[in-house]
Amino acid sequence: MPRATFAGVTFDFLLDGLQDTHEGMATVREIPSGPGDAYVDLGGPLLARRSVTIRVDSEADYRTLAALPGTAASSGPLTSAAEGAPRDAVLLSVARTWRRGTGAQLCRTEWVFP
Amino acid sequence: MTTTVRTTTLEVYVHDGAEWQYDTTAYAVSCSFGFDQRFAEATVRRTGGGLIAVNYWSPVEIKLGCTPGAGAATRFKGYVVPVENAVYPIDSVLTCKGVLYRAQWVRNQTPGGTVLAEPPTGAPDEAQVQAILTACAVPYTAGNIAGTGKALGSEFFDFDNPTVPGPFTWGEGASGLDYIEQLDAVSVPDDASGRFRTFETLGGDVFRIPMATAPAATPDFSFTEGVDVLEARLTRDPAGAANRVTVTGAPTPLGGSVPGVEGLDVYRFTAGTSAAPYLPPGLPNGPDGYPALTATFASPLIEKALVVDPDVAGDVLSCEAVAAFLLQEHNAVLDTLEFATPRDDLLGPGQTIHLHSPRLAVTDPDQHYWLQRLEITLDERGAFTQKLTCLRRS
Repeated sequence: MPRATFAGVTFDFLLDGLQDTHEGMATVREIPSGPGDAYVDLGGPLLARRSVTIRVDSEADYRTLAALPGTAASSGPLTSAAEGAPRDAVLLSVARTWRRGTGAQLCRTEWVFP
Repeated sequence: MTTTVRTTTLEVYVHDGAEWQYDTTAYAVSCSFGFDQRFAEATVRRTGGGLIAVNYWSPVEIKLGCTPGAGAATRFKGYVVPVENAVYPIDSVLTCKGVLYRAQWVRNQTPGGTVLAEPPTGAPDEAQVQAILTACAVPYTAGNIAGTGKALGSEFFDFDNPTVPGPFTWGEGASGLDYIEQLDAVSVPDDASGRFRTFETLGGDVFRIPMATAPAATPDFSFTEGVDVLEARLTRDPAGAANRVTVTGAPTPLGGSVPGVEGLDVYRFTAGTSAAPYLPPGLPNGPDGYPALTATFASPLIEKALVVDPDVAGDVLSCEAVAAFLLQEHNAVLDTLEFATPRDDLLGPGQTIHLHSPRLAVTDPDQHYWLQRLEITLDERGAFTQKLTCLRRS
């Protein structure tokens, strides 16, 4: 299981369920009442997004990551053997289900790559 | 079945006082032009801000379009007028107005007003408009500001109020555009073929040319339902129609008489026709022996009754020409055609537009429309749309 580091926190990257999304601004308009003519306007690409489950080693690591979204510290290099060279990323969200104990735990995270 | 795939472009440039700056935060824009609005307007939606020094009266130029298509063509030139800006944490709107807004904003600071024409020489309407534009610092090319060439103001004299400033005075505190619009409203040449109107183009150039709500014989652009029309609506409304127009002008010399003119107080002319199929049946006959609905128009800038007036020697505007022009405009049902197209043609108000739409029962190949208003938008996802409002008298 590849390890990764972001904002000083090291965690496991679960490749199972990892999803990369690449979208752009495209508007499709079909002309009504005709033979089916259409206009597709391409307004440019959007940032690549990633949704991935991570496993943090401790409750403290979880709290460190959970405090990042929306702050300047949420943007920085993501270092992972699976990625190769460090890659700039922005952590958008961290989510976990309720759990009773502390320690290693699974979190669902969302990232965007500027 | 044809699919047109194109890349849309938006470029907003703001002059920060030193040089033009490309605004990287702009992501959506809407520009509107038309003869139903006094000057062009645009709104630019931006995210973030603070990268460019935007000040009151900062010049702005907006280029947008599609490739393939017209590409990044200039669609608006004017000024940022940030007094109406609404700023929310990550979104702001720049409100922009066209170059003619300067003439609307500037008020005459000359004590007692500025006399633009007076006896015995007067001054042509185009010269008066140019004087106002110059005073308001509106950029223009003299050759683009045309007019009737008549010696306006050369005949005006109010015998009842000889010390009051005449109507050819740009009043103290009055807006420059107000005076221009008053002048435009009466600037009809003797053949009544049109009325001069001061307006600005998409490129920010100011023109003054004669116009009538009449399309040309050959359309500038043609559109077809099912091919390049997203939505369309046609309204036919006889409200405002009239088959008789009375125009009154400046005061006549006290006690004078003007042949062919009703009354002695002001110059007056009435034009009418019995051909008015839009009138409801059963109306009683009017003063001319047929059912009539009368529209009226009055302006002291009109200094004689008849085009060839035996009582007024000067070459000035006549009630007869203005009445003849207004009768053409009023004696009709007004068809208003509104539709939206994704096409990227360089449209502009005053052009002649043809639409083929079986659903709207608009199928006559010779039936064209006059483009009154144009709105160009590029939304936040990059979709390019032009909305047209077209008129036709029928």
